[in-house]
Amino acid sequence: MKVPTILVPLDGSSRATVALPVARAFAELEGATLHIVHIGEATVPPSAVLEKLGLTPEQLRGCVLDQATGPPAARIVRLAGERGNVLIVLSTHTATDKPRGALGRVAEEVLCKAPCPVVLVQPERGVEPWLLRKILLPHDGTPTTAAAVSPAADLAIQAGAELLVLHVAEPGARRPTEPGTLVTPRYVDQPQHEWSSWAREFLERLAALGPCPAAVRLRLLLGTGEPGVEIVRAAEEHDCDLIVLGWHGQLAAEHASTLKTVIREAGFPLFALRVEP
Amino acid sequence: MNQAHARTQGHGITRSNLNDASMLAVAPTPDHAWILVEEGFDLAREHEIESLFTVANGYVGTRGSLFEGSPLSAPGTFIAGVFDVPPQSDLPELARAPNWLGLCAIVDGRALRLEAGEVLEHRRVLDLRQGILWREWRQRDPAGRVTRIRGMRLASLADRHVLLESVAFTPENYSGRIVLESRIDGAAAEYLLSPALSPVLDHTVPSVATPGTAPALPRTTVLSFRTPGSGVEIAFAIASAITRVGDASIVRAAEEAEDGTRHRWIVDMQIGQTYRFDRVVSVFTSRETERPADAAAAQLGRLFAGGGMDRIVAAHVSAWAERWRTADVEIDGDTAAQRALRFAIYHLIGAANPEDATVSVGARALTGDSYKGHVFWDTEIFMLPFYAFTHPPSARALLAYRYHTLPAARAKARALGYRGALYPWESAGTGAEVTPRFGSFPDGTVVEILTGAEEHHISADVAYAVWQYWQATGDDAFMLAAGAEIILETARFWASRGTLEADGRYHIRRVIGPDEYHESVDDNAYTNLMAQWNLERGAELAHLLETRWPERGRDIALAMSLTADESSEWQRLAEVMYTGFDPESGLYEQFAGYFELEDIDLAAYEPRTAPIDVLLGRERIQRSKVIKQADVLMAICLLWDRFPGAVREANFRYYEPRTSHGSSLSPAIHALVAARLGDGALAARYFSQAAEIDLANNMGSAAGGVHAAALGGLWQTAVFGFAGVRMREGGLVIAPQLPPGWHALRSMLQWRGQTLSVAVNGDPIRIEVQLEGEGSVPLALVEGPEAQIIPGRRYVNERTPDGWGRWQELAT
Repeated sequence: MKVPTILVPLDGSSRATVALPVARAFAELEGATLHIVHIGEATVPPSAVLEKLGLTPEQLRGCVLDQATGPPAARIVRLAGERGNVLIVLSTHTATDKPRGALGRVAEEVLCKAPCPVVLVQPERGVEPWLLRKILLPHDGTPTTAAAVSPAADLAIQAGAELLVLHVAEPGARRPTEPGTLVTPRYVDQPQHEWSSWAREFLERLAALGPCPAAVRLRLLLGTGEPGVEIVRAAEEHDCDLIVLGWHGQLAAEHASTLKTVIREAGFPLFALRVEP
Repeated sequence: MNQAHARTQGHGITRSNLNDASMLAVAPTPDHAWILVEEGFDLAREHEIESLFTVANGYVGTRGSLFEGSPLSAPGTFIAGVFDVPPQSDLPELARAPNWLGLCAIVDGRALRLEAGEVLEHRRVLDLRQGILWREWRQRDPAGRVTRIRGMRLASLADRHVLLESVAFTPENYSGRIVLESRIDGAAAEYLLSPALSPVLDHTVPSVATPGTAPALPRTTVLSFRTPGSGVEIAFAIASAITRVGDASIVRAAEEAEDGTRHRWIVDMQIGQTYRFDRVVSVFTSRETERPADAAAAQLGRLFAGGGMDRIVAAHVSAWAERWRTADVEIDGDTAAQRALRFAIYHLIGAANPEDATVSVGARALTGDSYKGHVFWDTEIFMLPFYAFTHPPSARALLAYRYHTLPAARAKARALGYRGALYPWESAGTGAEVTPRFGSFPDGTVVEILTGAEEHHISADVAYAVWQYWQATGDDAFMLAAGAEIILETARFWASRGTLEADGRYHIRRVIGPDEYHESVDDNAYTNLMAQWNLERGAELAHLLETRWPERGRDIALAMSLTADESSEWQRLAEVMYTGFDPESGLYEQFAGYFELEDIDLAAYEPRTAPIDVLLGRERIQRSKVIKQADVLMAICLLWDRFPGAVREANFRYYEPRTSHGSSLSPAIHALVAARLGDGALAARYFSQAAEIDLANNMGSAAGGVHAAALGGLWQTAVFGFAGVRMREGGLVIAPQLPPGWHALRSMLQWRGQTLSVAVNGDPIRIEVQLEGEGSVPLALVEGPEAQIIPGRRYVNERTPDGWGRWQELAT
């Protein structure tokens, strides 16, 4: 993935600071510089910002403190755009009450408008150090979403983490019309042959489309049910530390139901990567 | 090029440059109903495209892989009957032979590949009529050089040991150096056959080509490989050459690898000039001859002495034309259905080898390695009718495989405590049972696989196929030499398999029927009905042998220790066979207790992308009436005339909504039965569903090979369903029922040494028939008059609202 800059927006609330250990871990993995971003009403001396954020100068070691003024989400997005190749790590919300959609206003706007991947951290996980040992990569079988494979594989290599691929068969779901889609086989003539062939094909396609380096060993899991629920369930069952999820960039009511469920239900960071058909 | 625009379809090759002087003396078929086109390049679908675009001839099949490879290429060449046992397994699987396709073209230091530079044009065309895979490609490399590449590949149907590829390169806007490296390697086999097929260089014949001069013999190399587990020797004799098109001069190979597996040519190409790389491979194995390398080399010598490349191609095209003459089914009014049907016929022709009586057709034929090349009931029940009615020698060879594996079937029966012959659910080279005992599922569970132990109906299926073949061909010689033993031994098996119980009925317990969702069931209707039929035919055949062929009958009886009492007992057991028939409802209960199971509304789970057993779980499915594929309906389909119309209808309407079609074998059979019942719209829907199994571009299930049984089912639906042809005692019966949108259907059938042309019109319903051969053929119409069809004359009948009219003879 090789991201030189990690942006972590903090507003001084305790809920925002949960992003910090995750952001630090990403910075270490990527060999990136961690930029702590504070958007205020006016530019103030750094010491005042640190005080507001509850950070000591020692805690800032190795980091850059960026200040900006204006609407927070728009400024974060603008900063990301100016920096180019970045990763934003932020808390899902900073208000005391959990928002109905599980995303605060700033996080939602950043997620939708940021020109880069966004890692969302749930306040519930607290500020414990974060280690990346196991990654869950849900995949719907379409070539478009295979764009999430390469970043996930890179992370797996950098962290020495295991990469689990999850495909969920959803009752009532229509087969995606995108050519080259591979979902669960409609026909299983002989399960002793079909499933091994299908699993091999699924992973080989992902590895080629990603692409995924041969050094990364992909393991395939199959779930059944509502995808968001199954993703969270599988991530918990397999002790995953991160979910890498491709999405189409639309959070309006009828869109991104899987992403919304994962944001709402998952207790661990979510790496959201916009994929374009 | 936008990869998302890549698609497989048939359409005219409107902008093709394939048909020019740079290729061999053959042009692609222009008719869109005869070609399958993959326009562009969609990396995600590459494994599927490789399967669909396989060239095969029943002896050898080569997947439609790109010669230069791609990030998702799985090139594969499979030779019928060549199995190997990988070290980590105890089960044989179809061996992946060394890849003979390797060709790397390096233009001024850059390899020509689809992912390097810009694809200006790319299409692959499967020419169903001629059995040729064409390729057209224009690539602009990162330096701006545009190279045009045209290729063709075939597996000769005229000489099944011959593979051929020709690739022409034209530098369109530059002159420069091209390095062509051809190679044969076993690398593709590594993950299947670990360690890979080990090359054992037998000998290399020095090239006799001379630089830049008149045509000479191409460079010839002979290589032998050995499968590591089974030790089958595979020999490739390879003749390759590069010629400059126009003056036909041969370019001398610059280098040759020490082991003979690589050759390198260096050519200074001139702008606009075309250079053609030709490669002919002769393949022999130690299955056919003790010295396969010598046989391959000798054959290659004969081929080039007899006319070389052009002659090879011409003979191949001619052989395909001859097969299509009797195998084609023409449809007016539905181009997609026409192409799907021809695609099915193409792969069926390429799957069987009439010259080898010791091999059969695996579930994915020679198009991929899924299902390990294992042979199932798919061959006898779904594919064999196509061969019996279009090319009887192929059908005969497939049945001969079952005769050659009869000792293994006897051994399996014996091992389980039965008599006679119990064919394996999965069969490979020897006919021993090779069904894996466990299956791993992606959810992590490991499940015991019971089909090898319990799916016994295959013995009756094989017997059924023998009888059908005999009825269709009148091939008494085969019946006496091989078929009779199969029918008698399977009848004997059924007589030992069940138990005559207190209710006076013969019960067959603990089996799996075609509906494999329900295991270890008692009195599966399909199994019992087919066993009953098998017992009856056994008794009938025993009587026939005694009366019509007493000498041969005595020999067989002696060899089998078969007595008249035993065959009489078969008839008696057939009469008291428990079938689960309820006269009140007209329904057959699929197995004992089926009617008590939970009814699940399958429609509530639509649309769905996964098999229903995945969505509901195995346990729930086993407690429910949901079935995987035609089971009772399969019996009705095969034994049609044994059931009254009301019974067929009642069972179809009962079981069809409960069938989840979790098997690729299911849609075509439902299409066939629906067509026979006159439900044209439903039949058309199932026909389309069956056609999409391999051809839809978002299924992915063809990656490991085409679904040969589904393709056979598609042919049966057209001929037995829509044209309504079926065999009945005394001759053929026809009851056409074309689906909506089909205006006409025309096919030819081989019937007892004669060729019957059948043309059916949809509206008004009209039948026209003509016979080639000697002697007349009785042809009956359902609810209509019978006619004696005499060779050389044309007969027509038309159906009005009042029913069928009289047969009329037309002037020819």
